[in-house]
Amino acid sequence: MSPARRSALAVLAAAVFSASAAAAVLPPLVRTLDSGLTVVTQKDASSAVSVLEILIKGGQRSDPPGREGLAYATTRLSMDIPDIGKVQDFMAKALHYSMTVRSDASVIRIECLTEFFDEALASFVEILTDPLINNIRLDRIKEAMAHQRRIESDDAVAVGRQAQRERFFQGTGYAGSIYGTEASTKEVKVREAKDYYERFFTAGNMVLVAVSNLEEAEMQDLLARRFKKLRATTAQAAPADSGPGPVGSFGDAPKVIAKDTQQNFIGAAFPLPPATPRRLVLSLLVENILGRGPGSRIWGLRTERKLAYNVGAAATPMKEAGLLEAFLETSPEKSAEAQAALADGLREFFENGVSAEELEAGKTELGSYFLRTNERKSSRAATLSLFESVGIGAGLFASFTDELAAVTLEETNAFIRAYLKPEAGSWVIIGPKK
Amino acid sequence: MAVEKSLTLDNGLRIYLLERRTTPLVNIVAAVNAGSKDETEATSGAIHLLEHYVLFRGTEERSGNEVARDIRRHGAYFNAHTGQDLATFEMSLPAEHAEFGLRNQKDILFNLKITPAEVEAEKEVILQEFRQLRDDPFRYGGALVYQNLFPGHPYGKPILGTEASLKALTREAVEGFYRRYFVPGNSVLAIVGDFALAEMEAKVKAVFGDVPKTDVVLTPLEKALPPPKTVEIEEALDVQEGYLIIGALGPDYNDPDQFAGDVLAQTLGHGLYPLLLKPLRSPRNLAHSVITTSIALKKAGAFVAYITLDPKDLKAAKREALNYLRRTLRSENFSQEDFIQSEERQDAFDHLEYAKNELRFAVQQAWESGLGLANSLAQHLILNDQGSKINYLEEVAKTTSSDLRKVGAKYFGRNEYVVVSIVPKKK
Repeated sequence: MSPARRSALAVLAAAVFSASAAAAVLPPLVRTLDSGLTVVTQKDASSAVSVLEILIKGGQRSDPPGREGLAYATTRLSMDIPDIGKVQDFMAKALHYSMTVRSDASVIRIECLTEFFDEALASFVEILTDPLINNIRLDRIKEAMAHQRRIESDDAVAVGRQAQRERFFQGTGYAGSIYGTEASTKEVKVREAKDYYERFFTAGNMVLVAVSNLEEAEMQDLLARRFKKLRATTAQAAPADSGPGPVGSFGDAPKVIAKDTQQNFIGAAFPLPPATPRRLVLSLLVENILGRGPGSRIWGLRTERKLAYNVGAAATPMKEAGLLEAFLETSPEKSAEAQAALADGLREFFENGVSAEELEAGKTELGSYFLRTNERKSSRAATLSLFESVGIGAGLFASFTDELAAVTLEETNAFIRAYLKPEAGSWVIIGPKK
Repeated sequence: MAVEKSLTLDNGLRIYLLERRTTPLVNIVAAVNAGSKDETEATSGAIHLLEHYVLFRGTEERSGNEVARDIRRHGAYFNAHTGQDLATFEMSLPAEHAEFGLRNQKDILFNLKITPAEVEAEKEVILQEFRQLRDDPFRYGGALVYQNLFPGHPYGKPILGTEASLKALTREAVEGFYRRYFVPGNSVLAIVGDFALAEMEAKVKAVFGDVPKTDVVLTPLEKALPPPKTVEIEEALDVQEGYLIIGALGPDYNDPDQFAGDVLAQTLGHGLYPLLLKPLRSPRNLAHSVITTSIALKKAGAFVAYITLDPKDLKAAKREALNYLRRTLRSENFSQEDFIQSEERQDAFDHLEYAKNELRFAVQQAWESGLGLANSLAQHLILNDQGSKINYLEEVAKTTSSDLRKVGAKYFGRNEYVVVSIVPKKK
């Protein structure tokens, strides 16, 4: 049975549920416990599901040179289920849990039916606060990371976007894959994973983000009770600063990576400064006007120039830097024309900026996009934890619309002129050898 | 107070309204009962081309650029999807622009202007999409499974057509297909979001009520049969990982087996310990990950397993997975209750309990997205033949281990499979 059928039947059988769930989503509540642990909660009665993101500040940026992948390996170890009994227990409760490493933080996500949440959390926190870090487990996780690296390398878009990070952030944690390299993961030792855990998995360095149908006070109390075993810390586990690395002119010569694909990936990237609330809103607005869907600036490369099926732009906020990318995928014979057309579009965008009408449309579209993409609890928890991890705070979620409304034409065009200089861009092409 | 309503306009357009005030958005999804199943040799690729054309190429009133400009100005998101049975056209926008959303949907669906130049332009874009499909191992492998799982049946036609059929497609053929199927009596509308039911009903009637009624003649569709023998396909791409995709026939949208089939798919390829990983992890570790999906079409269904693995283990993994599905599944212990000895029972995973809770979780999650709900409801209006309301979770709760063994034996034990392997190119 398809998910569509499942959803439809659920709605038709219980449409009355939507009446009881007709409450607007409340702004998030942010509290810092005595231990230093920050707890962000938001009540949402639209489903009987609870989502928790556990943020461990550090992330890719905290990987020491030559040990890329350490943050990933340690975070995986910290949630590795130690015995069969717990596996059975989690399975019976249909507990979903997963992890990833972002530029500035590791994130563990737990989601399940709210009726199981407290009990599942109790078991999970036992693992998280006393993980079994040994050679057997570390070797198994290294194998899984090698597998993830292979899957990543099979995706031309992922390879292209990663190549941009390599170019801008070479020599810092922001470069490369979260899974490290074969050589760097080989060097990661149990002692280093234990040290990483001791340094970063402390209350003062962690943030909990929960979105649930539970009352906020109830969720706050529950999280405070369950996470009281976390070690308190007074000294922040601050990773070394990265910064955008060797930002400079890459000239017109693109970085070309040979891959025997049917299409060429062509991407241009521009470094952005560290995220602030206003810069984040501006970068998302510029991303939107430049390349998010029909009517955006580079959309014509698809509909009128017929150069690509996939065209887009993406802004990536980070604590110490940021990136704005514009990209497309095209057939090898159209590659040169497509690259020139994308470069022309970017140059025109830089030189002339946006019009008042274009800005208003972009603001309306971005406001609606923000509502839609954060409708699901898991997406909203991810947004809230991203805001926390880049240092701008979950409070931006509630003020996002006001912040967006306050953006002026002058500052949008100033942002474009400051950061989208053609000479500051880096070009990457992934595709078959000629 | 009622929060939902079904109605049918005089022109035959069926509409479902669901008031849901959690987010200030309105989600409007139209589904047209036309898919690749309805194409002929002359129209192969037409429905997918129309999916693109409807969104981007303009109407009698507005050019494609004007449509795109209006969409942005109103903060709307729109997209479309094509399948074997139907095509959906979705839009989500701020609640204050709901009327624009309705008028836009009406204009692009029922007032299209099909010109040779725009058809040729969109064909070029789709040729790029063909290439992109081949760069995604799972998407490409999945498409090959569907094309070979329903031999001789209209569901076996490629959803995008082929490069050759697309190049040969004429404006007249596209227009003919459009005029035949894109009519109110062959379409449905599901609207979910922040509105008052009575006001939305009045708006919908005012906007769509004047679309002329047109008779629809549909070709009857038989149930699909499984392939007479197992089809094995191997494709070499520039990949480092190995990808194994296994497809088997499953219950269709209206089949009573659908509930047990859904539970079975969960146990096989989801959660912390998917059953299909059992033969692939012991005694040798042959796979990295497995996930199974079950797709329900109107006259057929499919179970598809997606497995990632080391390419050198492909042959052994294929053998073990097929052996498990064909022979072991029919006697599998899904629940702790299946074990007689208390020690065995204590150590066993309760896959049945897991799957039931997992489906309860999925149903709850479905409530979180207005656009997702509208999409599901629009598809349901086209695919459902049963008429009456079914309580999905009650049916799932009734499912027993014995039901899973029966469904496993019926679909995996007796039928043949389609097996697609994506392997690295030889250097």
